[in-house]
Amino acid sequence: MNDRLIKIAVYLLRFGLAAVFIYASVEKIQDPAGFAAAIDNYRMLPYPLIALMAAVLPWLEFACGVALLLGRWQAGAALLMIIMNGVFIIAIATAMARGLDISCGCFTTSAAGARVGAQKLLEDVGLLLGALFLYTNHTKTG
Amino acid sequence: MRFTCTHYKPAVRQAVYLVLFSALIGILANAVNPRGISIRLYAPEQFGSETLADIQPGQKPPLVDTRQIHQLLDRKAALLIDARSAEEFASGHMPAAINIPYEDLFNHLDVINGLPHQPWLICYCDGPPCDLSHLLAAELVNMGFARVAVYEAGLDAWKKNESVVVGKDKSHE
Repeated sequence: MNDRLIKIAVYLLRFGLAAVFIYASVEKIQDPAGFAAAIDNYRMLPYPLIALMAAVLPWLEFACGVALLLGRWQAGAALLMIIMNGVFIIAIATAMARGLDISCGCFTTSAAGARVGAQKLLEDVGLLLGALFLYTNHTKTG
Repeated sequence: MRFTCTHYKPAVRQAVYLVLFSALIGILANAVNPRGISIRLYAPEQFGSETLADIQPGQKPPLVDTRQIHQLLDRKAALLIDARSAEEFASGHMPAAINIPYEDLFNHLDVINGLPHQPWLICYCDGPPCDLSHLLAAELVNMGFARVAVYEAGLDAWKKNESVVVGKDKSHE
């Protein structure tokens, strides 16, 4: 891929990932208790970690999104997005393997939100690949 | 991909700053948010899992409450099954429920064989003194249904909370 194409892809990914992560964080920031219930549904973590994650993770998503929007600390933000999406993929895959019928907790804290499943898994894989591309090419925006 | 030392060190440092910043803001914002979560060692009493997981033969079906039933019905993921007699069913039942009387189970095998496997089959009867819902749910699990639950509070609680009951003078949904 030539440098010009990479530059365009990096721009698109920066703003695309920023939009997705900021959008995903808004409702969770407003409703940490609801997000905690969504995390609890995965049956993976003990309560103190659930509470901490519910309070901090939405702000981390927001901060990473803002960092990409502003073009500051892009490498750090992309690295965190890789890690976060890796964790989300593991959580969703294990929930599916255990036959859990739960809401994803990805963009909303509502129990009637999108369910965990192959579609959510693919979305997160796509986001992870996007973040990986951004991480390895973020210096090429000039 | 080039994960050289010079490449990832600033990224890790920036990531640490972002995590620390988010932790600080997140914990402070949570503390002043009326919908915040209590950060402590043990879960508050009202904090509980609403997870419904597929069950295996021999396992006890989970209990669901009125709120969960609404959530399941909202996304068309539940089928309500009244385990009481046909006469009791006709005198009033939950909206959209079907009737499989536990005490007449073997005359309803064709209905059971036609039940879908995808939605949750929610068995109910009158309320806690009544065990027909538990008995029917256990039979359905033994017959190979993996999504079976019991609305233990039953029709009594439903009437109290919802007041919408389909009776013999109204059309069955």
